[in-house]
Amino acid sequence: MRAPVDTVVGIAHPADDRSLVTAAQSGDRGALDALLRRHQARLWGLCRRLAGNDADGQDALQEAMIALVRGLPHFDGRAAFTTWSYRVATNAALDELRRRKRRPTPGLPDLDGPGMPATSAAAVDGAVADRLDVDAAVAALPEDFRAAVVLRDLCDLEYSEIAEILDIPPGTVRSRIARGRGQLADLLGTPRPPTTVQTPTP
Amino acid sequence: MNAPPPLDDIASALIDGLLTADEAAAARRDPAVVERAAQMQAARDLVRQVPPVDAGAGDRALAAALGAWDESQFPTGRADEAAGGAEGRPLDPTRPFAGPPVAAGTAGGGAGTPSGEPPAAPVLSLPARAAARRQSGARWLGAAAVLAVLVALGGILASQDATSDETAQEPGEAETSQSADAGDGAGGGDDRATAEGTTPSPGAPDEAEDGATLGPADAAPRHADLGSVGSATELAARAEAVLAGSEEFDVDERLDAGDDPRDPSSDPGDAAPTTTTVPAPTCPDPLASAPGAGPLVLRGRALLGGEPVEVWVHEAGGTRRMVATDASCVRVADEIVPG
Repeated sequence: MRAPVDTVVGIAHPADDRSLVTAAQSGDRGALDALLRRHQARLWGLCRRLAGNDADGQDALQEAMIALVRGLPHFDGRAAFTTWSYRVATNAALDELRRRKRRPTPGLPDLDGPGMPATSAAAVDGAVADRLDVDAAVAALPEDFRAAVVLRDLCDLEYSEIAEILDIPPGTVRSRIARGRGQLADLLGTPRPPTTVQTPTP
Repeated sequence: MNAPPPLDDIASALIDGLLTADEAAAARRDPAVVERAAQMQAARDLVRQVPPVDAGAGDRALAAALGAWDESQFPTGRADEAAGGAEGRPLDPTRPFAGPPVAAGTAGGGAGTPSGEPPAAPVLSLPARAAARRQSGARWLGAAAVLAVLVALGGILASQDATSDETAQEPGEAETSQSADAGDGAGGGDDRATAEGTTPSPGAPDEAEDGATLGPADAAPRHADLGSVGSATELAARAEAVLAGSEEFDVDERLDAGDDPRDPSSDPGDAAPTTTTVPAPTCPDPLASAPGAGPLVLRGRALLGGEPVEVWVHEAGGTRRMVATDASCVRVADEIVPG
């Protein structure tokens, strides 16, 4: 049995984002505060998944939020704030990862953290094992695949948005997602089916 | 890049709904595709499970970001110091994930930065924080060394001046007084005094602190030990409770500098406890020169996530804003006090 953990959900309403961004760019500190709080959980999910452990994820989140603040005066609103913030956070998280090579393996999960509700010991053990497995599997993906898979499967972004964030063609996004998902499935203990498919290529 | 295996490509496209109706129907008739898609879906479900951010870490990230914003709006010397100690290159939030840099305004995200434009403001990146912490430690060591020399000289002079007991100063007294001076200097007290247009008197450091930091005597702030809290939000709630005068952790006493664990020059054994001395803060009031911050209404200290912090609450227009700084004078919390 696996202990339930929260799933990162929720995309902030773009219209509200626009007004908050405009106010923040005009110097409204409260608007900036609200904007950051509004997107913090979403950015945390991305940073945490890309970083592979809580400690690096927290550092990446901080760097991402600082980078957002620094870049906000240059944000012209042609893309959704959500998309732009994902781009900033992805860069920040991967930069943080490259600086933190001293910790190449995922850290132990925080058993007292809010994501670990009080359940049976077996359930906690199962959740810990899952987190370690997932963290290790995601960390084992090539960086290109990891970012594409996380942006798609965690952040629910469209291929076109991922292409924009990663600055690559949509066809490359599709290829990276497919290969990344395949590697993840193999790494997480779900081996490839033995037969070879003969269906038409889409 | 090599093309992905057809099975993975088709299964992934099936999950994302990228196939035409005919292609999808054909894919669903193939057990291998169906099984592979199920495996990918199971992995996807695991990837989507992320524990929520720790409240303290979220607060710290938010405070750091707002601190960076404050620095860009109201630059201070401390920001320059922190930036000068940065080890890593500053983040460029507009840089694409891969490939060449994006020219101004060319990215779909509209996040281009004009070429050659300097960073908007120095920020306290994590390496900068570490460097600032090291610099702060070096300053403390220097201040402690100077203090030790002064105390030794004072003792020598006192012993040589055997004919005048009235004018000889006790070494312990000299140490206590100079400890406050050293702590003030290392913590940036000069900035605070300058900001308020007040010059601390060398002979009366405590009074100078009061005048420079706390404002007029008729609007003296409260002083409190806010205890140990786990998050900035909780700290703000305690500050509110203290200001409302309803909580027992409001000791409302004049804390003695000798008790300050962040003051390496202090010695609790030598410093006589007193309830009439305002401690010299080890850090400058972060909002002392912030426009519109209003007067200081509460100053205190606490343990935030196990780390000692100094707390400052200003009030303007009915809104109270709390800022906490850690031992390196880095802002670790920035909250609106409820109520």
